[in-house]
Amino acid sequence: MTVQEVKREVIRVIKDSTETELEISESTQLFDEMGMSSMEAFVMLSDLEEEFNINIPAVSLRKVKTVGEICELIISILSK
Amino acid sequence: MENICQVLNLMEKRTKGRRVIRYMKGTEVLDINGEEFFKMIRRHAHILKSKGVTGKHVGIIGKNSYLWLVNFCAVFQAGAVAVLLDRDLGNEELAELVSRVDLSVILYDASTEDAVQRMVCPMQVEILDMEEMASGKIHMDSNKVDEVSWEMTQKPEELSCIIFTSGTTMRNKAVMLSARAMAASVCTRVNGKIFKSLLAIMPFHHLSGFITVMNAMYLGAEICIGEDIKYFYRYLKYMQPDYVFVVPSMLQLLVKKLKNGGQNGCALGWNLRLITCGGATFCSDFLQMLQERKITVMQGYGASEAGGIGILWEMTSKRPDTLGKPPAEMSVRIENEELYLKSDSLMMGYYDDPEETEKVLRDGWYATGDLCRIDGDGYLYLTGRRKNLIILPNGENISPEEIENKLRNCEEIEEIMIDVEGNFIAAKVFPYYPAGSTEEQKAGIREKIGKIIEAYNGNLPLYKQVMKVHFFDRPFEKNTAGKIIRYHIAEGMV
Repeated sequence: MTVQEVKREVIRVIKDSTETELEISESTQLFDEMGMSSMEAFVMLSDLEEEFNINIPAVSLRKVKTVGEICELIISILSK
Repeated sequence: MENICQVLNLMEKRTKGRRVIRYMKGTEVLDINGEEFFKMIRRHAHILKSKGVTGKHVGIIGKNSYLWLVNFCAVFQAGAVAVLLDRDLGNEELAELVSRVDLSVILYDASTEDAVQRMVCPMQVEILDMEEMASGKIHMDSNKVDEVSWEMTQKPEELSCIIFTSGTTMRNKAVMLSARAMAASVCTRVNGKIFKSLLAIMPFHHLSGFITVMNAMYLGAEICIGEDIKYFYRYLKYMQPDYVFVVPSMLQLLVKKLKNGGQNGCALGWNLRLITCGGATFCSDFLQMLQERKITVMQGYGASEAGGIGILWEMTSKRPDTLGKPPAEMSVRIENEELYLKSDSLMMGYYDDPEETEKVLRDGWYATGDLCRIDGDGYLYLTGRRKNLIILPNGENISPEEIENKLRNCEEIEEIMIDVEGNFIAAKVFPYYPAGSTEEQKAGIREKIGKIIEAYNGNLPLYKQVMKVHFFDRPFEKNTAGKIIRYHIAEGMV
């Protein structure tokens, strides 16, 4: 997958997982703009894990605030 | 029942030959029967006894797991005091708690190994890897396992378990539960409701975690262990528990998913019939929807200090805002509007803190700090809180003053007030603008405050982070004593 394809998939999974009606982009704030709860964020991680067949430690969420940062997190795990 | 060993002894007899615990590895479900579970407890109790823990304080820190439960029970069987530690603690917070409650041994797992290994304590603490204990890497004489019996009993009034109240800083309090309080906490009924299997998703170190598990086992139900909140839906689908204890933010998730979930969530592969939510607020929309799906919702009211006996009451639209009525094992009274509780599960006090204990324990009653009224039919209603605590949707209590005091030291912040907004902690800030500041300089100060708060958040768990900052262009309204009047500052935001 290319970086752009990963980003597109991440955004699709986030949209499906949170069932948001917002238009989201890399700059969208997960908690501030989308109003995501920490529980929703954790469950979203498991959806991303399934989609990309990776393991994402829950603690990695602590430094993540935007959709773009989630993309970067997934890309960094995939490239390991 | 006078102590937890007697309860475990009874459980062992009752669970012979049947499945007691289920947990998942990936998408595979593993089953443990009664014999295996109690044999494992004996093995671990034997190891602990050989380490000389009897009469000492043994900390347990780790994610929800079969091994956590085994070791928790083994600590009692070894005649030690169980100290339940938050798995999210960093090494410094952990070291502080270890000294504060005089731990001799800490049992940890892979998820907490880093914090435990990096902890620097002034006293000597032995650390034991629970996985190594299970794998036999830690030496034991297996011939003696059967000699470990339930006879290692504590007197009812002796200290049996220490848990911590939730807090944002190191100032959380160490609640002491006696052997009698532990037994009373476990041997209760869930308001007469019957269930077959509990999804144990609440962190085990919380009262709502370990007590619901032990209580379900006492009532003859199976325990489905939810190791990681990430896989909440997966556990519901693969292990199909009919009962789950949650906090409001988890209830929100369930409600969202169950909208199109069919009866008991069967369209999702679930089999949910009963939900208890700690500290939930009534919402008629979701209640009706859940009732249509044949799911009963109860709300739970309690406190760590009150032990495992709390008020569990089915939500109905008839009395939407009641806490319900106390169970037979609990007495309540209201004095100066404050709710007092009394039961066998009440704490002995805070560890090594007689001053704080005296503030809340009076003649065998626990002063909850909650303001309450009771109607003519005996139903209780919360009307406010004496303590200035915020309860977050995940059930954690946050003291706003603790965060405010930490951030107020920054010279860019003139006044700050912490509140909860939606699912997260929010800060309302009146910045310090030096006289003659230009708009550009003011924007720079606000940016700097944003960075200060970001640094404060650091590596804290999400629920402890300040997620939103609102800037105000004038000081907050004060009372005559010069204290900020909370909740009166919605206007004036910029």
